[in-house]
Amino acid sequence: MSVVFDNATLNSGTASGANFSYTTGSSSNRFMVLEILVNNSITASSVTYNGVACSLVDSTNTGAGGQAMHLFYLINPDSGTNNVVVTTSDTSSWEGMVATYSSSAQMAPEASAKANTQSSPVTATVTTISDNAWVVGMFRNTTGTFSAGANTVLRGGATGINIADTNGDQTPPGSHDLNISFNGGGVCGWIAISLAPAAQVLTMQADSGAYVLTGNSVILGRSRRMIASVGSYILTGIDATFRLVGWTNQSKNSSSFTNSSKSASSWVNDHKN
Amino acid sequence: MATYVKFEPFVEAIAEKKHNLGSDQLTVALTNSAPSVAFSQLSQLTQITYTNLSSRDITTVTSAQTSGTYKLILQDLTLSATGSCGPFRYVVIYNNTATNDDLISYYDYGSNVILSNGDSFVIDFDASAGFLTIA
Repeated sequence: MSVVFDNATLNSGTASGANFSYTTGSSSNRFMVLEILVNNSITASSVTYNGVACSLVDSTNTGAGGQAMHLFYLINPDSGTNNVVVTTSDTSSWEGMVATYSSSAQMAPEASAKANTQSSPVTATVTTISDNAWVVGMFRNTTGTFSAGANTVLRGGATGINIADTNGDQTPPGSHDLNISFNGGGVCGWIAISLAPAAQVLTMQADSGAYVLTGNSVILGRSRRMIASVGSYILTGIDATFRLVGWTNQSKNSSSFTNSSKSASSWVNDHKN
Repeated sequence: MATYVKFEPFVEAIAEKKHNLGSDQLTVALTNSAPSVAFSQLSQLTQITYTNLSSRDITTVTSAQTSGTYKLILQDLTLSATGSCGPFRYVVIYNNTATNDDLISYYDYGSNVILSNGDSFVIDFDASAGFLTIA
C-alpha cells in the first residue's frame, strides 16, 4: 500500500490561541503534518486539531537570527473541516502550514532528520526504515521562493515556507532525499520525516473443490423379479447290491429254469432243493 | 473468488493412500509461476523465499462425511510479513506429511502480490462448503 497525499494549506495567526480551519479527507489511515514557525525567542507550546493535541517531532531554526521551526504530527486526524489551534509562549505572530496524507502507518514517524543554515540548493536526507515510505519535510528560508528539485513535490506554501514530499514510494529502505532550491540568497532550515505506509491486508476467497467418485449401479424396480433357477446336480454311477435270498420252491421249480440249469452242478444242494 | 484448480495426480494419490486428509499437515506454498495441473509433488514448483513470512501450515477444522459426502474444512490462514516477501500470484495447497509433499490444488490470485513489513495475506477458506468434498 502506498501513502497518498490528501490536502495542504498555509495559514497564519497573530496571537497565541488563534486558530484556522483545515479540511481533512475521509480516506483511511490518515496522518497530519503541521509546520509552525515562530520567532526564535518563543515556542509553540501546543497545537491541537479539532481539540486533539498534536505531538512534536522536532524543532530547529533557519539559522542565526532566523525563526524557530516546529514540526508536529497527528495520527488519524478527524476528517472534515476542523480548527487548528496554535498556542505560543507569547502573543507574537506565527505561521502554520498543514498537510495530510492517507494510507499512512498509524504510528509516529519512523525516522526524522533536521538541519539549519543551509544554502541553496538544499538536500534533506532521511534514512527510511520501511519499504515504500514517503519522505515529508518542512522548509523555511529567510528570503526567497522555493522550487522543487528531483524526487520532490511542493505542497503550496508561500515565500519562505513550504512542505514538500517525495510524492512516491521510496524503496528499498535507506537514505532518501528531498531536493529544494530557493532564490534570494539567505539560508534555510528543514525538518524531515519518514512516513511508513499503512500495512495492507489482502484477502483471497478460496473456492471449494469437489471430487465425485462414480461407478456402475444396477437397481431393480419393484415390477421386476429376479428368478433364481434351482441348480441340480446328478451324481451317476453303478450301485449293485446283491442279497443272498432264499429261493422259494416256486422259483426253484420255475419253468424259467431249464432242466440243465436246474440240475447243474453249480447249484448247491441246499439251494437247489 | 479464487477458483480451486485440481492437480490431476491428486485423485490417484488419494486412491493409493498417499493422503490421510484427516491427520496429515496441509501447507501453503507460494509461487509466481503458473503450475501445471499435471504436477504431482512440491519439488516441481518454483517457490518464493519465505524468510520474512509467518508459518504456512494450515489447521484442519473437520474431516468427516455426512450422508455419503466427505468434506474437509480448513481454518483461514493469515500470512504475515516481517519484511519484503514475493512477488507471488499462485497459492498452492500440498500435503506436508506425504512422502513427496504431494500437491492437492492451487488458486490463482489474479495479480502479483508483494508483501512489505506488516502486511498480511489472508487465505479465506469456505467454512461451509469446505476446502474440498468427495461424493
